[in-house]
Amino acid sequence: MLAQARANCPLLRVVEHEPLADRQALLAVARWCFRFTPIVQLDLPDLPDDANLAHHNSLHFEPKAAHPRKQLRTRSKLLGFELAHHTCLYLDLTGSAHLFGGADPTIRLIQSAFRRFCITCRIAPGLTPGHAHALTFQTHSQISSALSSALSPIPPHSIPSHRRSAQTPAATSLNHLPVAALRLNDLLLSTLHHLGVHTIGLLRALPRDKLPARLGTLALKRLDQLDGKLAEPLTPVEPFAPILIKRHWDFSVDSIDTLRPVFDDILARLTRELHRRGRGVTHALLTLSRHYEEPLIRDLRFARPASNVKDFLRLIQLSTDHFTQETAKKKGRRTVKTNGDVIAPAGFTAAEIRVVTSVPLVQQQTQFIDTQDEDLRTAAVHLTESLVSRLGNPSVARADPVESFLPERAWHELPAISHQSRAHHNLPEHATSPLPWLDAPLRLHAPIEVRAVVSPSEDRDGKPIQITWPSGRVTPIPHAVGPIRVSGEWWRDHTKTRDYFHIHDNQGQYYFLFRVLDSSRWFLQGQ
Amino acid sequence: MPEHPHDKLYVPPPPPISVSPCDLAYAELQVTTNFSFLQGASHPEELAHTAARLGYRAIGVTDHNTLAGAVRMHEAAESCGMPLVIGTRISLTDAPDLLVWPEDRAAYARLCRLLTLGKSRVAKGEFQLSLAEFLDGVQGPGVQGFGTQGFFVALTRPHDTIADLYDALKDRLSLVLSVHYTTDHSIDLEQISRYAARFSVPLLATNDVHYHDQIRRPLQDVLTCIRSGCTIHAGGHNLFPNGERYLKSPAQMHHLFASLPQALRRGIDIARACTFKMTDLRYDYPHELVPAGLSPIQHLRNLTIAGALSRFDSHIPDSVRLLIEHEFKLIEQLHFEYYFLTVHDIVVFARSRDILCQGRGSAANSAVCYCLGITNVDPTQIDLLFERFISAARNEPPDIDVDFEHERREEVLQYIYAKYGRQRSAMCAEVISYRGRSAVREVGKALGLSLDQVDQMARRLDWWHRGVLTSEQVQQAGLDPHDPTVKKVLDLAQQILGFPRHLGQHVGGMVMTHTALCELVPIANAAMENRTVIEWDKDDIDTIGMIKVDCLGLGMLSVISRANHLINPSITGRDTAPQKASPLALSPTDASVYDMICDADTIGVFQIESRAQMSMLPRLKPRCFYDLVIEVAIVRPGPIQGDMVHPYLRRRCGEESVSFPSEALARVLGKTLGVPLFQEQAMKVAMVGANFSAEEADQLRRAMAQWRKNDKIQVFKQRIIEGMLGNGYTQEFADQCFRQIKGFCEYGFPESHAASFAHLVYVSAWLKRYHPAAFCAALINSQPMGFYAPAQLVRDAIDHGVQVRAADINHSDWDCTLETPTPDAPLSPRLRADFGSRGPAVRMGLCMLKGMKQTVIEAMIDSRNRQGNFASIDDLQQRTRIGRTTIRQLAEADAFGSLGLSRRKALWNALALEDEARPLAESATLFDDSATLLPAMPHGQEVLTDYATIGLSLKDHPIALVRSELKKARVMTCAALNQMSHGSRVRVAGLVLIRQRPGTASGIVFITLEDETGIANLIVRPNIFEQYNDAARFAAVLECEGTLERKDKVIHVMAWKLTDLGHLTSSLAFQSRDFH
Repeated sequence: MLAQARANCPLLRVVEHEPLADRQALLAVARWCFRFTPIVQLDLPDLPDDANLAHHNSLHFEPKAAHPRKQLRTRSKLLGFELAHHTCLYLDLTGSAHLFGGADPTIRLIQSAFRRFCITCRIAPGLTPGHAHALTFQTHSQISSALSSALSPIPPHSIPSHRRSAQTPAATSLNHLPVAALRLNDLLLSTLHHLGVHTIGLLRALPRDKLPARLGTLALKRLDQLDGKLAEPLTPVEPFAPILIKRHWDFSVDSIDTLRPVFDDILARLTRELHRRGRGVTHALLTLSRHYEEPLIRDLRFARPASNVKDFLRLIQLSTDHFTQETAKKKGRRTVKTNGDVIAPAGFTAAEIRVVTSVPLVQQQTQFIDTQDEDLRTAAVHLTESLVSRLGNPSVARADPVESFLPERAWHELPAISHQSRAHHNLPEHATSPLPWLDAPLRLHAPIEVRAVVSPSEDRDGKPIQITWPSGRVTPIPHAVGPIRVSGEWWRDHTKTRDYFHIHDNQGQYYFLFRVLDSSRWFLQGQ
Repeated sequence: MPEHPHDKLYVPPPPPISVSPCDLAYAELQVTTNFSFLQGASHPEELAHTAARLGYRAIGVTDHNTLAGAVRMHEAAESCGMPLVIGTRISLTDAPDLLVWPEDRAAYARLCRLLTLGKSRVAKGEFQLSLAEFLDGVQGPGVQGFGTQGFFVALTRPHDTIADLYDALKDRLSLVLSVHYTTDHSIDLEQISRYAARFSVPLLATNDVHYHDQIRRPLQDVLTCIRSGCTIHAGGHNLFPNGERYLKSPAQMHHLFASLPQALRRGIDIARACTFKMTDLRYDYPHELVPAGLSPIQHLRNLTIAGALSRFDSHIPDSVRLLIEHEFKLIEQLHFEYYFLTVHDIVVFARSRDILCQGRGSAANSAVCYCLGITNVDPTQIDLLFERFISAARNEPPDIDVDFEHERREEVLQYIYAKYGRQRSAMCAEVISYRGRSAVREVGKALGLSLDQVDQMARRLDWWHRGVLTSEQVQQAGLDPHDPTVKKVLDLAQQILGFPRHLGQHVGGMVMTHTALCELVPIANAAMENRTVIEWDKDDIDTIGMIKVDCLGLGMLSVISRANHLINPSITGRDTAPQKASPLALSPTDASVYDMICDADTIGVFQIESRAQMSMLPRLKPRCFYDLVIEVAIVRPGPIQGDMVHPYLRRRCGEESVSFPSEALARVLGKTLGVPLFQEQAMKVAMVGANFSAEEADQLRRAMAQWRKNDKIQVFKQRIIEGMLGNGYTQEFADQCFRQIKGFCEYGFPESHAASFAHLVYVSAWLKRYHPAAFCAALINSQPMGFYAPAQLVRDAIDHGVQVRAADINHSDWDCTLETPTPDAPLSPRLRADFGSRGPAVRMGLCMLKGMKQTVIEAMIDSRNRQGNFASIDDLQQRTRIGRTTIRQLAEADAFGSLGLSRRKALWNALALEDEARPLAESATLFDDSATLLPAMPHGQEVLTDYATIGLSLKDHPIALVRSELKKARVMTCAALNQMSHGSRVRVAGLVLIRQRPGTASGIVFITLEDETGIANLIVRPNIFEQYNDAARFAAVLECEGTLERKDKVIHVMAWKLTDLGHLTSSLAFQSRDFH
């Protein structure tokens, strides 16, 4: 199918469908709609896997007109107020429409906003959720005529059902709509199709008492919801609650050290909140506001999800050290340059910690027998965190093993703090060394060409006895292990074959050397 | 069937003339061929030839747990004089792999038993054996006078079990040592030799060869990826780190093992000691069929004479008597008595079970076979050429193929298993090899192309492609032919073509032996239940001299049998004499049957229902049985390529005079008007015209069958032409004769085979002529078979005046049945003449409904037969407890007509049912008229739903529904084509019935369209086919613009534009989501 399409249209761009990303984006859109009303319901088709939505609660939707498609990788035209059969947003505008000048202007506002986001959608105002949903199946002109008339000042579902007439006037006009407008499942739709019941009107014409036995209760329920005979309260999307702990004070504080009690307080509140949610922080932003100057913002990235005060304090300490020295220097300069200036010193006036990403905490036994090992691991974590906080995440990398016989291809680089590893999961335990059958050198570098003397000299299998460096320095090799033959990865058009040797010089210095079999050139690849 | 010369996907290059001389002695004893499926990356021939070129002293094949490649390796080694050591690599559950080489025949027998044991308890393709069992089997009893003697065993890597093995095997054990540069081998060799010395086990130097040449490393990597189901990028350490496992020169090996010359010598010693050769294998037929006290030939003679007496009504003609005596002489001389007796036994069994059967192929050349009831070609009517069947010169087994009703063949096979036991009988294997499609698909996947890309590429390769894709086809598949990955895929797919992928079952070849078969060749379980299969295919067993009996399934025999039972419901029991009732005993003489055949009214008739045959019939006008034999044989690639069709037709129509260059040739070619049409005639022309002996003529036939492989045919060319000139024929005639003989290389039919088939042609045509309803019902019940789908068969039956009635729960059985038609039914005049007003009608069976389960339906029919018709849907559920889904499916297929329920009403009622039947009182649907509120189903949707649920509609033709639109587009009906003149431009549309691409038509594709008025035959030239590729290849509804071509009664449309009309039916399908 796809290849057919590609053959017909060579410029076709294909993006893999990501249901989870779609879902996140939709949730973000739903939250964005909070600006119109606090009650926004999102109906989604069931996700097949056990994807955890709560996991991603830190995502927000920041509409940027320039890159709308990046934000929403949706199934083409479906997103909007009616997505596929089942995906739709319901906004209860009762009581909030007047804030935007009435129902009509609100809807127009929403429409134009979505057009700006390049989201195609169908919008219809209705008396009940079912009514509104059905109306999205109307043609455009029908909707706009409905726009002007249909919105009632009172939300219908807030009226107890016995007080309303059996059929609202709006509902009868919907008989010509297809049954799909009723929010039925595929199975039911196909049964109705086989029965020849294509429109709501035909469905209504069937005797009510015969329906449940044959079609289940859903069809009748939807009909009643459409007519407003059955209340259908909206279940609003949970508002996004970022973890944000903030503290102001009225005076300005010069030194960060003085802020220690403030941090203690903020972090205590933060960890309480984290415990309540059962989450650990992997990325947070620390903001220190200042008078008359840019706020000081620090990235806090954790190699292990952090949830206690100690972890936070250590990183805050690390990331602000530098600043203290810097300001001290600046201050010195300033006093020299602007002697007697009246500008108030740039002291801190507020502190704030915002959690950017967090993950659910998993309980783990950390200490039982292996205490030393655990200490080492903690030390490694601390080192990584320290380095990242000083140098920035992209500057610190770690190697991740890849199965390959070529040393330079046997690993790939990952940011030091990343909670994903491509190879890790499908690598067996023993394969973590780049060359399982070969002791890996301590340092691997780009090959340096050297000259080598081989003994026995005419022998292609001979071992090196002496190498000559590019500088002309000559090193005799008393001991060499090899050859170990590795052929190139032909599928990457690398077809040369190498013979690897481990060699030692007289000083005990250890080298990793290879000869290209076809050209008999020698290269040093590690030490 | 004659074998197709193109069947071989891999044709090895000619072998080197001899083994090159080499001073350094080396024998490679660990070689993995591509018969270790997805491990070895070279054909046996490549390995053997390369070894010969390098001057090896010997080569030893050790495929993994199998001897499947042994015969091919044997042949390859023979062809270049390379000494071969047969062996295998056995994987044990509790020890490293062992290499095992049997020294002699007895040891080989034990090895086969061991392999059979390891395979007998696991599923196809797996192997399970423990060290203890191995040692047991190696030493085990059953073979007289051998202890551990007779085997050489080598352990593939150092392991603790070496001590146990040494205890059992003593000096027969070695330890394998290979240098692959994965560690520093100088250290490695030293360590291992010290280890081996500790146990006093000698070392054996091998190179663990996986391919003959280093260039196969990429292919080996790809095979590894296919095996482990990953892409090459994720192959990682599964792959070999380098490409060292090739056949190295003796000099290289001596250099590598310079420090261990004894390890090299060990290989030579083993090779010298293993004297076993595949030619030592002797095959013996089962003996037990001969009663005590009789010699086999006496017994066979008694049976034959008794058969002849019943065949010829107690008076055997002298000519037949002579023939039989002649045959007996040869049979006795070549010791084939047992073989004939085995086949006779099988046929007798089938008769006793009322299973129709008939021999085909060259066996029909034997009068003995005719008398034994194996074949049905009367030697008094057809000249038999027994040498075509058995010849003293090639001391090789004859080939008897017997067709059985395809649905009951399993009974026959299980009879053979039961009679001879699993140790003495098994099916022959068929090596399933990579073809264009599978090669591209699997290599593409392994190189990381996405599934849909691979699919697109593979889809462009149809079954007739034997190569891989051209760059244009790659482009159409949406890929860049210059892309390096795509290039690699194509290159590797080309290399992998013809590689064995796994072992399947031969279509029907059974092998039986007197002594244990499992000591001749390992037997493994097949994927199918209750089937066991040997590891060799038909070429292999030919080489070894084993015989197989081909028990083939033939759909037409099932049809004839079923039709027979429909016509005579009384003969269902086994007590009636089946011989008398056999429908195959018809005498082929009825003129009105030939009238029908001459009108090309042959849809459903055996062999002559294809389009090519149907267009030939009006020209050939067959009037007697021999004409049918010719008809069957003439529309074949052989006669077509040999340019014999048109001369024959011209002579037949009297447009060309029939002349013979000599009296002798007139006798040979007289019955085919001077044009050779059969293999036998080609042989006889050589015998009579160029003085060939019968044996030489047979060699000529074999050379013809494999002329692509070698140039033998050129030798014969000279002999034929010189011989004919010597006998006074003209040069021109001699050339023409040779051309015609060569034509048979492509695909010639033996006359005997054609005669066997012609008999079935007549019988099926007779059924169609006199019992069209029974014939139609039997054809549908035997689906899938033949060229036509039930829709066309039903339509053809209706055209012949048969009433066809819709499937219904109260009238239908599982199969289609016959009913009495209503008296006022409009019967065709012919039927009325034959039957009066009582002609039968066909009731469609519930088997035609999609998704029905036979057991469920039969239970329902059983209830109906016992308690009477069903009164309502509730009644149906109450009595039969059929599930709701099945009832829904029945409703959607409109099977409730007898209850007065339309599709929608029935569905409405069915929906109300619970999954379990409820007591009657609670039933919801009784006295319920709510279904009347449902809208009626539109006519078009009824038709399309019929197609979706049954595959055909009795209500209307789908094309008729869009006729008005087609009319607007100036599309004419297929029937209207008859009024058009030759060369006029036409436009037709219809459902695509058949797409055909005969190998002889140089790429032309024939498409048959059907609309409500009839069919139209399109001829699509390759350029048009490529231009409108998607429509031509995939469309279900097609519109064609083209030029009308008319010759005699035959009309074609030469297409120049094709359009997919899928949108028209999809606009209908808007109503029906189910019509795909």
